Amino acid sequence: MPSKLLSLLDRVILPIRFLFGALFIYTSLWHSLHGEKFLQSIKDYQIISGPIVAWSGFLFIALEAGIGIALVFGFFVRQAAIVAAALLAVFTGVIVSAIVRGLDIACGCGLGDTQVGWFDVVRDVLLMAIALLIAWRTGKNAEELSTEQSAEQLSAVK
Amino acid sequence: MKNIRAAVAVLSYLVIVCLAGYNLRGQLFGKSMPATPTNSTSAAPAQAAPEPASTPGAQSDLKSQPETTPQLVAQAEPSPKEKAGLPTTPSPTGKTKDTHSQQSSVPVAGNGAVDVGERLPDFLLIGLNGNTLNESALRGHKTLFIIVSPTCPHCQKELKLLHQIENEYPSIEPVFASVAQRDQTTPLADMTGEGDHIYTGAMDLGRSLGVTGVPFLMLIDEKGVIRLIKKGELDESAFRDVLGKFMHGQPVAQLPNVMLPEVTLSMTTKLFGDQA
Repeated sequence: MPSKLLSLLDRVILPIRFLFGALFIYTSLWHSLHGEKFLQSIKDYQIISGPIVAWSGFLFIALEAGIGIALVFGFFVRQAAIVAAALLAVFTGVIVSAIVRGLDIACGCGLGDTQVGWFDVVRDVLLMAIALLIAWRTGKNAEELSTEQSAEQLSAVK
Repeated sequence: MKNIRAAVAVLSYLVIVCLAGYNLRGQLFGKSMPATPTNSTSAAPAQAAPEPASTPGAQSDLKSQPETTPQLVAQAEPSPKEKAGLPTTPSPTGKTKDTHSQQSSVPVAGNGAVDVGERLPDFLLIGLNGNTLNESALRGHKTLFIIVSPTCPHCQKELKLLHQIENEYPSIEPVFASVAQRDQTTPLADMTGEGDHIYTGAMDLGRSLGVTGVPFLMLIDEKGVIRLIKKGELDESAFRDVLGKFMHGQPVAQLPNVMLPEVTLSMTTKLFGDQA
């Protein structure tokens, strides 16, 4: 990849990371505040049922919040981005499964109460790509790269 | 500075997780949590919340078997707790006086079985009109609770009949819980005019009660205690007899058995009583 493009990517990766993390924090808050609705959405997918629904919902919210906060505050960025990509891959699979089974259900994504459709799949794939991009450009020592350091690096680049 | 940021991050995380835990406490910890308000129609279901019953396959795969005796499972008798002398009188306002501890002493149906004297496990149904209904919302009034499938001819006939006569029993709230999804259930509402009383999402509830056929009728009193269980269709005279006695607080007499094809609920979505 041309070095200019990589340089440009490195300039924008920090705001992208912030926005991406903020999105996860927002959806985790939305899911926390609309717990019942969220659990109903999980059940609507008809993949899991019973008591496991509530605990998986809780685990999902905890993961979402963890990813969002890690990305925004600059801790374990690479790991968080990889987990985010994995989570989004699972969502994509689940949504495709719902579409294939002809389920007419709400997405439950926390980004509007829309019915599941191919738009959700495209959106999740794009988000997954962003997560992988963050993981790639952040490097192996991302946990040591604080937000401040990132900002300093950005200033230095400028 | 890094320590401060770490502290803020951890604190933020804890806030969100605690918020989620608080809002989901009813579902996470089930019966150990305080009861929801008596008249709530949207409170969180506790314990094993049933998944909505959607049934792409519900319209097929009927497994009719040769005639068998239907299915009066049990009938109106006082619950074991009532026999033991626990207070059962509703308050003058018609609301139950039960405290949570008293309510929790009533056995809860589930694990594939239901019996008279028990109360329903917690569930969450979604009405065709957008309302939600859970177990605690059944308390405070008498309920005619029927688990139905939109493709079951017996259910269709029964709902049409009830639509004609339900106004004669104003103190009994009808609840028709469909095991199919909303789009599959809507025609049943159009057909019977019972759209305001039809809910979806009853598949898991049916499974947890060991329901093997629809219609599956239950009469539930003001305290949420099941007073009668009847599988299969009832004719008009039997309905009038049962509902009249139930409305006036009289014991419901043993119903004559009605010969109906037995229908079976398969492991997944096949539904009993449905037409092939």
